Amino acid sequence: MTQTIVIQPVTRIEGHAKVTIQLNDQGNVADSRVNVIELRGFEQFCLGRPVEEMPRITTRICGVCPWSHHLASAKATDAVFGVEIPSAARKLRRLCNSIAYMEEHILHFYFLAGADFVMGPDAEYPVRNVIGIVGAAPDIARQVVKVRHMCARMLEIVAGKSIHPAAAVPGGFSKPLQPAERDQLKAMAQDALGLAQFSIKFAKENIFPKYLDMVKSLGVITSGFLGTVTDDGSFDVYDGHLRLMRSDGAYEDFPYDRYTDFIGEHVEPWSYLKFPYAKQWGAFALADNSPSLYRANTLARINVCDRMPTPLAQAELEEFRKNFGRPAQLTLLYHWARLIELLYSAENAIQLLDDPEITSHDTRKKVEPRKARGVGCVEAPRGTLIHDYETDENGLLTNVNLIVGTTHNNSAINLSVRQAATALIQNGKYDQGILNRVEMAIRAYDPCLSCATHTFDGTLAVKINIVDQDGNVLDTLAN
Amino acid sequence: MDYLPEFCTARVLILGVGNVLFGDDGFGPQVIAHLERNFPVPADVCLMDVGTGVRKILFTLALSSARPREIVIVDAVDRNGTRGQIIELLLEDIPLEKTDDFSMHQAPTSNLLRELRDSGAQVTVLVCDVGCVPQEICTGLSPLAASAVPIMARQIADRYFSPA
Repeated sequence: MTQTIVIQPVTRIEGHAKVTIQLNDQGNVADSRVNVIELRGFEQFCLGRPVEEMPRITTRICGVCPWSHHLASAKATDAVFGVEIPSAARKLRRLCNSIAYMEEHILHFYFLAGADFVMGPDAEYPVRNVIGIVGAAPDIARQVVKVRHMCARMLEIVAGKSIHPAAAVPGGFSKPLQPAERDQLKAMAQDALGLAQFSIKFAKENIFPKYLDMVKSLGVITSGFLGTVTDDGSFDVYDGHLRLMRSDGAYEDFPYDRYTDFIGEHVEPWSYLKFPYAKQWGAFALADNSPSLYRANTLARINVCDRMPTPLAQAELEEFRKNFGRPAQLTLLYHWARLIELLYSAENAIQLLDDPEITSHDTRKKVEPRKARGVGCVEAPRGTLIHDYETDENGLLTNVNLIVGTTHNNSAINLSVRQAATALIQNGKYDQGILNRVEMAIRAYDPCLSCATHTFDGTLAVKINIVDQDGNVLDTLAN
Repeated sequence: MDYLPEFCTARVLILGVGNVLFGDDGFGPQVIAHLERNFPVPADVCLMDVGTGVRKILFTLALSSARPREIVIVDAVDRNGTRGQIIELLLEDIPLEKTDDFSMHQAPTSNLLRELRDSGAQVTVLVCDVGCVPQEICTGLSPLAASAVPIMARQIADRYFSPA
């Protein structure tokens, strides 16, 4: 008798998702799907609004990555207005981006993925979470809290606020950085660099070797990759151009505003989230090693870049490539790549703060409305984020299109879950540890599946219903 | 240097939770805005519109060496009850199946709220039963939810704005 296993919601990622695993009569995986709740109606909501409102509105899309939307939107509005912002403004935005990256990557590694690795994927469910880490590694937990607090404080100093930012404005940045503030930030950035160095060292010594078999097998698929690089091919998460790399390492570079020439969006009837694909390489196919399949996010960015622009991160990249080649395909390497990015972000923040121009008072240019199209793109922690706006002669929006980071990985997440489930659930046998491994395959992508709404209704739960073809509940797993 | 934010050291922390882009889901942030506009907020009370980023605050509090004496969550709920009704939700009312779920998105996570309560903080969840939250973006509160904002704000001010 066929069975359906449903994991809803997937724990410890940001957003709502339902994983459905369909077993055949032999108890082996016949199919699997990751259904997500997506932000709906945003584009329509924006039409007719003044485009300069967008950097403020878009910070409300998601409480996880407000800075990414804020900066992508600001860049799109700059492009609509046709303005080249002052160099100091660009550096201040980059600084905020690096600080936000540090906070997000620390959050993900220690709070979201950490329990899997520190406690172990087979640990009892109640302790396979953050409080378990506190009990198992209290000194690490305290240091993580301290540095995350510090990152929020750094953003407050630079931008006035860390939650719902408003400092990036069309034409630049709303306030300059004072020398005394810069000095305060430099000390903080050094502390953050210390945690970044500790984190990657800790992971390489205590986590990755221990779970190497899992790294080599869990959720592994073959795909291309999408990320941002500078003109000389260096890693960058704020600005540059897009690089789409095939699984064999060949690539094509293109400017942001030509993304529609290279990226198509496929729709499946069972998912609100679209499935982007590399349309110049082939038709869409939800299949491993499909020519048009690509991934975004940390592993993708590490793969597509030729080098890291900061020395410590570059050394880590060289070691990473020595071990895993280029492009690396193992899905759990997203965590390793995330730590390289964490290191880069801390180094980059220090470099920017050492730049004398960071305290310049020339941070903003005047803008005038016009009929135009503007594309703003940044690398959000979860993948390439594209804001595409069109305005009329009064600067009112006539068209809006967003591709959020996680959307790029929709196909890959589905395929990795299918791969993991197929390998781990056989002859109808599964337990909590196996199911958590399936979820680990998703968490590696650090997906942000729309923090659109959450009402405190207590109706969501991690409950696995096993049903037959008629919907009769055969078994229930719950915590 | 100990980088503890204000929300860790305040006597009372009041968190407005929800997304203002989704109708009545924005009830919590609207209550915070109403309090800030219409009431003198004591120095030892911290009001925060956290939008959909509340879990970051709660995780920080859970691991912090300092915590407020009182933590108040202001949120919307869909209980199919009387729309616009203000309810104090007890942590014990939350179904047991939710208690060990550390989903980063389920905010406020009941586990963390229990942990914070067990660590000595008084945790209170004040919600407005708003009925249905729209599935697509739709700003602005419904009339019933909007009418509940000043009522909720007055209850909060009366209860928490007096000196300790």
